Amino acid sequence: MIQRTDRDIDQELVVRAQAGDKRAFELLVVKYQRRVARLLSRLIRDQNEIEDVSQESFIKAYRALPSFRGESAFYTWLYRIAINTAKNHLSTLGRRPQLLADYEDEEGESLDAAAQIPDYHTPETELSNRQIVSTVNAVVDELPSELRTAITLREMEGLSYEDIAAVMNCPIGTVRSRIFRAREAIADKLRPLLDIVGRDKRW
Amino acid sequence: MKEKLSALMDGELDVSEIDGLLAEMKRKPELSNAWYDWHQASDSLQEHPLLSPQFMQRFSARLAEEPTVVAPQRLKRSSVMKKLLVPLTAAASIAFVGVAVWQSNTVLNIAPSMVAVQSNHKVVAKAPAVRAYLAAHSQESGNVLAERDIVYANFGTETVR
Repeated sequence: MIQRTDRDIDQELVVRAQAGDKRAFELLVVKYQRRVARLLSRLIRDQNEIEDVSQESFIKAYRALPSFRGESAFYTWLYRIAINTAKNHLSTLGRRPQLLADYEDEEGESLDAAAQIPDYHTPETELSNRQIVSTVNAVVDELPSELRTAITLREMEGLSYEDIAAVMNCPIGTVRSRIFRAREAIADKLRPLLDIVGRDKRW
Repeated sequence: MKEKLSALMDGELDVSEIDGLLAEMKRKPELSNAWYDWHQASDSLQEHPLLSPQFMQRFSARLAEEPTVVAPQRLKRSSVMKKLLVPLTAAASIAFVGVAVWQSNTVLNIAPSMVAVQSNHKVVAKAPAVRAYLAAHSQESGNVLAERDIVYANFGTETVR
């Protein structure tokens, strides 16, 4: 889910990308790559096509950066570009999208309608994804309770550090440290699995 | 430094520390790896699909081919720009000009091109040769408008009150 604080980090990275920092844009792509792919999978069936159109969408968004002025959240602007890219892609192939809907809402509320449409995972990615999910869940379950609580409140509930500190009755610095340690513990267990199912070479 | 990256991921890092962290990321692959791995774990928990392993590698290659966008903008509701803007009088308006330039092999120095004018004056965009300077990311004076050249361009002019 996209949280209020997501908009802040996105804005910080967008500003830098607009100022000429391509790396800042790449960080945004890492963040949104799977969300965009998931969105497009409701319009396009083939996994390779989904990835191609996803990449095309990010490139289009990069080129359009000069026109982004923050009237909407970055991600709704990005999603709009992705959907238009997908529609154009399909029409050049003479195909209609699986779902035709109006994605006008600025805050992305209407995008939730797409959640009702099943997306098209391949069996292989479905299996690998389940393995990753169960690994992550297993690691979280085995964390010391304060780390588990902090990462759960952050990742699943989207609470800010300040709110988590209030819930856990500890300083914000402690929240930050606990979330970091939880992430590292998860990543350590995840890396061997990612080596098996395939991972991006360092970019 | 990695803990700062974790805070950045949550939008909880102090704005003043972001540039330093991004610079550090360019030097240390382990930071980029962490950004990637943490988002992978987070996305998996929310059941976003897996992508093929070379997705980011392919994308990075494509992005490297693109001309670098340089178009400093004023973003609405952005706390970053609030720190950069010169305090305005009620009568002043500011025009922002965005330019897109082609990347050359030499390092470009491009400043945000901003003109502060009185509100009853219309900003006329002239069409000279475009000279631009990249805004130094440093915020030592907090006023990036001080002693910068003013650049006019043909397109993308916006007057904001």
